[in-house]
Amino acid sequence: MRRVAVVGAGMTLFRHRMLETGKEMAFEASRMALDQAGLDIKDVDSVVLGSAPDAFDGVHMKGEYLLDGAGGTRKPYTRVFVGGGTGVFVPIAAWWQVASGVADIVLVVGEEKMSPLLPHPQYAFWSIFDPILERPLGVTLLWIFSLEMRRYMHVYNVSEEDIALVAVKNKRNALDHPAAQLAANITVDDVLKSEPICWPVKRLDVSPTSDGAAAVVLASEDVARRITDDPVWITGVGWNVDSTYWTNRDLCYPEYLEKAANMAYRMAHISDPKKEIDFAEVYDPFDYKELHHMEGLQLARRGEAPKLTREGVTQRDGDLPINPSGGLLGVGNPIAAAGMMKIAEVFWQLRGEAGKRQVKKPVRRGLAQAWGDLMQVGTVVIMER
Amino acid sequence: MSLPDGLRNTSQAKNWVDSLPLSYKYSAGVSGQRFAEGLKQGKILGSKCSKCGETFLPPSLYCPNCFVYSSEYVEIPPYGEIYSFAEADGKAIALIRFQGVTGGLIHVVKRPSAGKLKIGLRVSAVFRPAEQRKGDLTDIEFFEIRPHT
Repeated sequence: MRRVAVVGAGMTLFRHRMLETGKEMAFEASRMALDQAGLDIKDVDSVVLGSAPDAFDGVHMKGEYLLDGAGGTRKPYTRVFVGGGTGVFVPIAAWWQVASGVADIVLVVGEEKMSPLLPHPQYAFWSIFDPILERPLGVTLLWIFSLEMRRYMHVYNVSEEDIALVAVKNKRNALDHPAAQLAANITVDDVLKSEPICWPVKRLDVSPTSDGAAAVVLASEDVARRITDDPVWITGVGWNVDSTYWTNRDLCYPEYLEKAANMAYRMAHISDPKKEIDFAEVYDPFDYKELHHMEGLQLARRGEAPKLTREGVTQRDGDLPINPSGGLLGVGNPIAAAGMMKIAEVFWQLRGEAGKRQVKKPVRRGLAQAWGDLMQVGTVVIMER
Repeated sequence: MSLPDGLRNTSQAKNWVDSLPLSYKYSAGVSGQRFAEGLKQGKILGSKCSKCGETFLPPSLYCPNCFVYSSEYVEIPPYGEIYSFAEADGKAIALIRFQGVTGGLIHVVKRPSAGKLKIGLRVSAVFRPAEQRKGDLTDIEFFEIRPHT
């Protein structure tokens, strides 16, 4: 297997509605990533695009629709899709190509344009429910998250206040992100008093729906050493998927994520992730999910993530900064682009290019993670200087 | 070989009809908005690549070949040529290409009162009166065959 480096990253603003079409956003993020890498489209051997359900953009076969914006015309081009986990799965699919020697330079693009769908992007999820067992109940996705959040609170005796601290932290971190959609200085009380959507899930526990794109460029070691003094290496990748039946999963502990993480840790020769991972961008479409995912990643013991959060360990100046970017709660959640934003953030943090978002302690190794499909896929990428 | 019951009794399959009532509000896009504004002013706008100089219609924010931003929007004279066409139900749709331009427009062509539509015929855009234009493709009512010049 060949070593694989990240050599450039780019992203658009994340906003509720962008004038740019999906193609235009894909182009802008890709152009920025190529510019940072000092490369042109003719240098790119292959393109991998990630985007979530076609129903958002409202253009069926979105991968094909986005082709020229992602620079894929007349190149080997693939769209990959594992729902919300897509953003961190796209670089994995691109990594295969470079690690195997199929390609030397791969452009990796995540795009989502959720705003077209009326009455609300959320309604795209109507169609994911089982027509026999679930649709007759008239539930939305939020009901599922409510089941998970309540179970998590129950098992570990976690308070709403502890969970709200995640939203407070991430939205504040996002104040330093130039692309952020929902950066804010809010209090725990603001979260608790926000409109209940499906208790215990309240408005400010939830990330927004967004339009946006993000891209990175992967290169083989030879190419990376030639074009940059500062490559960031992908040293571990992992993915895993659990049963699609809600009824057959542990709603309190994401076992599939533990398996995905262990796959990546083995590859990266990590035996004690809590000590060996310097910071992480974990998937936080809901505040409780950051806690959930920290535990699945074994960055905290089971039930310990709320305590670490309360003690400030996960702040940017803490011992284990989590979501220094501001995460999905603060920067926004254009699904596949949101996961790619996390990949870009780990890259920028490791290169010391995160500006006001730069975590305080020196960092050598970071992790990005996403979650999705039918709430049961885990995707993990580990990157190192 | 015996088939499972389910395969033998397909006429018994229970089914029901469901619908997902969704509608969409699409962004025109950066280049799409310029194109739409152009149509409203009775102009066909293309984009020009800042690197290779190629002109694209419909216009694009970027050149799909060089993968760089387009440098400018240029007005394309509304005279083109039928590249191919399809006819059915008393209506004709053609791909119309324009000299020196990559791409083209697919639009309605008004059939000539005498003679037939042919590939290679020269056509020109007929815009609706300014007060009826909405800033979309239908601001061009149709293309018509240009009289021999």
